[in-house]
Amino acid sequence: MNSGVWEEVGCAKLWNEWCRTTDTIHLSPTEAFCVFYHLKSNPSVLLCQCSCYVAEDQQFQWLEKVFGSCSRKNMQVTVLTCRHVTDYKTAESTSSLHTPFLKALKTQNFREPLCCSLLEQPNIVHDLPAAVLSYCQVWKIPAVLYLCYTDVMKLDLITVEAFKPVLSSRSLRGLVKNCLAASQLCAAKALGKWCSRAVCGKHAGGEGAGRFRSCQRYSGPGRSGNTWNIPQSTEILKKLMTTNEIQSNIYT
Amino acid sequence: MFVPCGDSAPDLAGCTLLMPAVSVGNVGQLAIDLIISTLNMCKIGYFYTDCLVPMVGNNPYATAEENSTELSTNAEVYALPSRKLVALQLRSIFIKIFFLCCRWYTKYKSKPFCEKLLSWVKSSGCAKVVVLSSSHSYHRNDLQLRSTPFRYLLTPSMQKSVQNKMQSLNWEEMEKTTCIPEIDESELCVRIPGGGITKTLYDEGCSKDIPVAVLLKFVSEGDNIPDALGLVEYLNEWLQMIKPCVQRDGPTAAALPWKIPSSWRLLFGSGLPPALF
Repeated sequence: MNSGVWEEVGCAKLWNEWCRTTDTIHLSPTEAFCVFYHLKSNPSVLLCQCSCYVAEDQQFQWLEKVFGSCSRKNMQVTVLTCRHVTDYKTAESTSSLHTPFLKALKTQNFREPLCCSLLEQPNIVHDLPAAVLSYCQVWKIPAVLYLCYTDVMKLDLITVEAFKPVLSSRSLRGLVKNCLAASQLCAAKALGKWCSRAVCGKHAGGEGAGRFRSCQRYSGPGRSGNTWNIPQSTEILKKLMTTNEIQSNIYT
Repeated sequence: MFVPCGDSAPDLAGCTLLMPAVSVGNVGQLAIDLIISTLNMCKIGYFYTDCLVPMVGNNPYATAEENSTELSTNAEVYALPSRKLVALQLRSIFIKIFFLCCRWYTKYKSKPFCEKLLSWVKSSGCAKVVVLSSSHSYHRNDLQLRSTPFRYLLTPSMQKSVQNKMQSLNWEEMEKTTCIPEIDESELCVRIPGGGITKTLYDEGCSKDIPVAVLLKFVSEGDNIPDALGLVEYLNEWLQMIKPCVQRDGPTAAALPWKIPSSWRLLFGSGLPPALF
């Protein structure tokens, strides 16, 4: 996000039992949301920053709202996410693996070269990244998921740097200025962000609607009318680290 | 809803649909994996639904580098047109939904799934549905403890066509037990503890006049691969999907050549750290 001018164009608000405020004075649950940005120089490039956990009973509705009102023609999706290395199944002990490392999954219609090796069976992916990839596979949208296995519970720059090869991919290299900016860009993307050429849609009700609040699309130049400055990715990294810490243990 | 892989929906009229119930030991799902892998069935579509927890992975039946890169989702449909066999594989559990009515309630999306599934079965013209399932072995009564661990159940529309076959195979029908186990005088009904949606599918099949057969095994959680092999061989006695291998060395009992899928590696987790010992 440091490499270009990104404008906030919408958000998907939701609440679930994983959403907890970091503010210990105001104890009521805070609304969590996924924010959508578009590149000002090329508005067909969209970026979604998910700083909240989308629960399993909200994922389908999230997909329908976000993908539902846009054309799937010429759409391509990239998903970036992380998991702890203990989730990775291998014949050798996971303690002997060199972490962090990147693995990929792609849909049938994705034709670009991959930046790392494919995720081998019997490993699988869950949660929102899996929901997005399933949607893309079923509806024949080219999509790729890059999954970083790391040995730390808290987000750090070493983990973020594992995504560097992804910045050289055909879809993303045009969006990245230089390597230094690339590290900061990775930091901003590290927790379940995806980049697509879609436009998010509007919200309707439905089951669990009390927990899935709204998917708002802004018209005009952005809520505050501001364009983004350099420190934005640092702020995003701080927010992601706090979110990661909260979501690591639902009981604290 | 069923979404075909290709441009047009395949013709499933007259086919036998095999499917698992997500049940104790995942025996039904393991059995369907064995069937798809052994018969080399090809994927014909997805059962795209909001009822199952999303998951993705690479091809679980890969045999070579070339076919290992195909993405698999949580509910897929495979077919073997030459034998008029269709298999639906389910790879995740039903989603729990939480709603507030004075206090929090949770329910599983299993009932809506069964309704959508059976509606698709009817519209696609499948001749019959065979549900592979399992039930908790510790719930068996004294009679069940002393007999074979395999049982079958047929909906009324299925009984007309296959009851005689079941009897000729000397199969045991699932017994009715008291609806409320603690009360001996309560009504008798079919109970399948640990069977997931098995009972719901059976009841819906009865009420909607859909030919459904349930084949199940009494199992405990653990290494359930032998249970899955037992269940597919039980099914094979009826459907004759594969023939035994010809043994060259004498009149030993011929083994059925079930192919273990490549995804069954590391069922109990990664390798252990050497420092542990």
